Amino acid sequence: MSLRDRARPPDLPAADARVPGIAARVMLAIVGVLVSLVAYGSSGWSVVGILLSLSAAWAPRNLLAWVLIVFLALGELSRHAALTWQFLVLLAGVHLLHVLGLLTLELPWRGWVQPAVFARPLLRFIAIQIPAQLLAVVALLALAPNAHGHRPVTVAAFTVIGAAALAGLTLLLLRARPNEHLGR
Amino acid sequence: MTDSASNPDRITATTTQRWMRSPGLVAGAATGLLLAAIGLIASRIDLALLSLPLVAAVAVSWDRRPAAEDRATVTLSLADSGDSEIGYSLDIRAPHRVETTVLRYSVLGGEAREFVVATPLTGEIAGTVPLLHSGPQELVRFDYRFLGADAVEASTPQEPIIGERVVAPTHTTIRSLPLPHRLQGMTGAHESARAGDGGEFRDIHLFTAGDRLRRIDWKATARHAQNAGDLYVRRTNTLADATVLIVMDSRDDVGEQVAEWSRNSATEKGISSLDLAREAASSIANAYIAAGDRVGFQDLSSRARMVPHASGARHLWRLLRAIEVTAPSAVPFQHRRPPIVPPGALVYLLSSLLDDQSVNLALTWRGNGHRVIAVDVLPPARFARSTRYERLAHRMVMMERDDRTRILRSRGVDLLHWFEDRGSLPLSARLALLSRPPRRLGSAGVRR
Repeated sequence: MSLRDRARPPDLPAADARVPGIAARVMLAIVGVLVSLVAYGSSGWSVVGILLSLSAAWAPRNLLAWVLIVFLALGELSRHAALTWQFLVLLAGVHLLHVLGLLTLELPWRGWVQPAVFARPLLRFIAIQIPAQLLAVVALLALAPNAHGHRPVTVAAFTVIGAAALAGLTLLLLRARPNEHLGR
Repeated sequence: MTDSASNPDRITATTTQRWMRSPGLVAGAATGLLLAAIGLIASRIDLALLSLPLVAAVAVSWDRRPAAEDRATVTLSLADSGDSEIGYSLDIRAPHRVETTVLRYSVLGGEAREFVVATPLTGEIAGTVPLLHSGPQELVRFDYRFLGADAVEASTPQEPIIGERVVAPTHTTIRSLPLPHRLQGMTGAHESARAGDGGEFRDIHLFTAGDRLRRIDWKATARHAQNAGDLYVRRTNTLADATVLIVMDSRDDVGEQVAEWSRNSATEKGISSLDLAREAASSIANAYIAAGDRVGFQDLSSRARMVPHASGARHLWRLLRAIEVTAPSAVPFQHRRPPIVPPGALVYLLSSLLDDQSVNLALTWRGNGHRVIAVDVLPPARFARSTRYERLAHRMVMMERDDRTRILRSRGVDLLHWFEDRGSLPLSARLALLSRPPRRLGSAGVRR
């Protein structure tokens, strides 16, 4: 297949579908590579992260994007939990990898996509990321042990906060909806 | 459910979706829970925090999944937008909470292309299709499926919505009509060699029973009468009409571009043999019906497309409809006997002559005493993007085809090339040559 074959057909019925479908895969690869470099730095593990990123973009059906997320998260075990810019980037990165992984599973990579298709996933990403980042900052400042191993907030307080968070999440998941899914 | 019965230019499909969960949703939820569990076991708040956006994203997109019982309505509208183009537009009314529609479309049966639009539509889905060929054709086809929030739910592909049209072939005016060896009836537009009314002077002949008194030529009687009772009459030729059978060999449809013979892409192949066959058949039918003759039509690859011979304007409409819906059917030749031809009929066999079947038919009819005109509808070859092997294969096919045309000519079958190529006689001149009265070579050449 030549580049000419990949040119946007002039008779495409949707005039504003001008983003190539492969852009989602390219974004997945770029985000995966960058977050791998942020998470593992110049160590050899970053090569594994880069390979996983490229594989996830090449064959999304293998669900390697989520393997990559686990791999990146496990990289945190080699460091002390602390509020760093690398952690905040990782927090945004794994979420973005999840969203891009879902999109690459369904968007045809040879097709053309309206920019508006990405608008609502992006808005949801921002809507989740803002409280998540704030919570991460507060939680790490309050709960992460300092250099002497002392935790600013005790485990008991953490348990209360965690239980409240889980209860909120449970309510969100089990929220009653009209009987629209009874037929499933 | 597709509905186009009331208006063929407006096709509406109303469907209930069957939703499939994306494996990414399960993977995202499992990853989030796994990270939370590891964070809990390892007492690592950072790992637990990493699981938070994943679990929240899964929860939000699951909460916004489309309802199962909502219906989607997709409407495809066709409209003439010029002499050689048809416009189309697609309207999509997706189920509630659908955010994205994935569409796969193809024009004129060509390569399928995909594009993705946000739902509800932010722009118009519309375009034009060039009318490159005559006959029935699939102008545009849309397959579609819907995606929920973050593509965590996808509907199974629905039955495609297809815009179809039957395009009437162009007509060529024919002024010179070749006639069969035997004309029939006592009325018509053509002059027969038999004695009767309506035609031009034939001869002076002795009065016989049945001659009308007003035909007696008294001057000729005075000159030629040997006895007192001899009377001479002026005889004229009778007028008669012809019976014509148009036989179309629609088993194959090959275009100008040799490289496209195997792919047969409607947009790339150029003028095709069936385009020329439809044009020739409708022109011939028009001309003979206008002259008051009886015309029948038979499609070799379909017994359903057979119109018995008749005359008149209504019959012409029937013929033209049968001709314009002719399409390559990929049905092998199944006739054990050649189709029955009315006595004394002139047979036009429209074929690309790429195999022996049609040639054998022509020879059989010629052997039965019919005048047969084989109309060669193969367009001249063009070799754009063809490989050396394709050119070589084409040359061999053409050599076999030349042998067939030689056999046809040698057995008395007239050959008419329909396509007007540079350097050849115009079609009207070729038809005029075929319309000349046969030379009187014994009884075989006499039109009776």
